[in-house]
Amino acid sequence: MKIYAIDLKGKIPLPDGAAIEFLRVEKALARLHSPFALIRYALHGVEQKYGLRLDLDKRVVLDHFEDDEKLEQMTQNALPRIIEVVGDALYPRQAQQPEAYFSPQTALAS
Amino acid sequence: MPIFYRGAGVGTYWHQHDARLTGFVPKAPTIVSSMDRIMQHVARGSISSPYISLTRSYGVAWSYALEVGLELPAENSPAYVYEIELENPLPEGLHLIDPVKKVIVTASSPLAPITYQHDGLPNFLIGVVDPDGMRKFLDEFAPQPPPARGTPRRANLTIELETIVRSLRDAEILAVGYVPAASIRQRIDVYL
Repeated sequence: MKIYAIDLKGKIPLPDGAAIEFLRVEKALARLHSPFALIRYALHGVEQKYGLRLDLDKRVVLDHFEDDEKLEQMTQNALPRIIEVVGDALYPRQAQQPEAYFSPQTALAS
Repeated sequence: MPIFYRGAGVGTYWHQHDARLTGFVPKAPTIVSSMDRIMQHVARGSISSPYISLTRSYGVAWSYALEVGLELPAENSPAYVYEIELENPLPEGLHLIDPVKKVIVTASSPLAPITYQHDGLPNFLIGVVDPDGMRKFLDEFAPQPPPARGTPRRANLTIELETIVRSLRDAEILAVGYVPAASIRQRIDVYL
């Protein structure tokens, strides 16, 4: 299976000395626009065999660090930025502001 | 007899445990089912749940199996799709919930001041369905009637509406209780 990888290195803010580093998000190239992806991460500099499953529609990771509250919190805090990086990589034209036509000043002008 | 499916990505619980031998059990069977639990499960991906997610769509199960694993499958390490056939009446101790019907039945009356419905532009729903690809529709301001128009804001999105949309996405049916091994007809290997 060909994999499409979105680089996360240096893009996800974490506290100084954090044990976790988010490396990249992987998607199956043939299923690029499906809502599912896999977050690859390292602990203490070592990439882990298994990733964290991500549902981009629901904005959730389906795997949790149930025995490590600190890691879990760092993952939850990083999630919005990870999703943003993925969205910008897959849909670069969406990164713009909403069209002015729909601003409250012009909508349904009386 | 209706056929349901469940995908099992590589490395997940039902990939490592053969449901053809054990049947399916939920992660948290002692939690009491409720409307809030259903919405948390479907719309928020809550893992501590009394539900087993099934789908009427082989394609949805195939997608979960391929893409919702702890690593991507290959020919020598495939993911699985389970095929489940349930008879009517259902096996003792098992019942099924259609989350869409459940939300609609329990949603407020059309006359209630608070509703599951959004108050944005017609394209808003496209943004809910695809919050990355159609993100701009989520970000649009919700027009309000003149003259004051109130605080500029985006459209209301309730967890009820999210539950409906996500449940439709996955053709999802929730099983409560125990899906017996005898109901599992086959386990199909899948990989790209």
